[in-house]
Amino acid sequence: MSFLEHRVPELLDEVVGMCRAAGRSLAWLADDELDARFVDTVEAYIAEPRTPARFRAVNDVAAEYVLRRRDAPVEQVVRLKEGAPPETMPRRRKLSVFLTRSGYETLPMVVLAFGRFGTIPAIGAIFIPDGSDEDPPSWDTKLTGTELQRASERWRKERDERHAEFRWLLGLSPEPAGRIVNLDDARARRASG
Amino acid sequence: MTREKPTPDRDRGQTLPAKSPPQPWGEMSKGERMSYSADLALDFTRQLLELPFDPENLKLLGHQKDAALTIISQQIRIEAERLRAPPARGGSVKEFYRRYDGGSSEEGEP
Repeated sequence: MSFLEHRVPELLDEVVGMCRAAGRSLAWLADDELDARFVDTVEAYIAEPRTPARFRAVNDVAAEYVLRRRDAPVEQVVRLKEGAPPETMPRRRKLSVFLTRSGYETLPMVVLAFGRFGTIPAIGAIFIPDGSDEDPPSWDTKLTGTELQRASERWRKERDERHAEFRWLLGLSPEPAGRIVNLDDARARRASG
Repeated sequence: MTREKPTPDRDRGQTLPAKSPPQPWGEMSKGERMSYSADLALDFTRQLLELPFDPENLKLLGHQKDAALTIISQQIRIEAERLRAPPARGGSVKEFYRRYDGGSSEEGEP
C-alpha cells in the first residue's frame, strides 16, 4: 500500500520538479507528437534500460504528461497478457508487468523508469523491460576454471545490482549500496581516453 | 539598569507601509490573487497581534484573542499532519541518477 500511497507520489513530485527546473524541454510538442515521443522514448529505454540518458528521458516524458494532465498511451508499450490475440506487427520488446496493486486510479497514467525496474502508477504496476532478467551476454555454460569464476562474479554482481534497484524503487534502501557503473560505458570511456 | 521593552512599530507612531500589488488585479491569475491576499492577511494579523495589550479595550482584545487562537489551532493541525505523514524512506531520484554516473537525458536522445 505504502508504495503507491507514498513512494510513487514522492518519485512523481521529484521527477516533475526536475522537469520544471529544467524548463520543460518537451512543452513545445503537440499532444500527438508527445504520444509518439513517448513510444519512441520507452522503446529506446527497453533496448538499454541501464543507460541513464534513456531512463531519464522516460521520466522527463512522464513529467510532461503529468503537467498536461494527460494519459500516456501506455498500452502501446506494455506487453499483453498470455492468451491475448497475437500481434500483427513483428514482436517488439515491451515493458513486462510482473506486479500490480489496485486502488490508486487517481495516480497518473505514465511510465516512470529507474534502471531495470519501473512503475506505471495508474495501474499500480511494477515492470521490468523485456530481456532485462536474462543472463549477462558473457554467460556461457561451457566456461571452465578462471573464466567460469569471473563469469560467476559478474553474474552475482548483476544480480545484486538488480536487487538493489528493485529495493530502491520500493523505497526500501535510502542509501545506495554503491555507485553502479555500466561496464560497457566504463570500457567505452577508457578506450576513448 | 533597566532594559527597555521592545515596542512594535505602532508604538512609535509607525505602521507598516501599504503594499501595492505587483500588477493590476484584473491581470492576476487566481493563484497570484490568493498569494497576494495571503501576504496582506499575514501583514494585517501581525500588526493586530503586535498592538499593545490593553485589558480595558475589550473589543480589541477579542479580535486579538480570536486571531491568536486561530493561528495556534492552525499551527497545531499543521504539526499534527506533519507527524502523521510517514517519513520518506526511499532514496531520491537525484541520488539514483547520480549512482548511474551522472547520466543526462540530453545525451543520446532516441
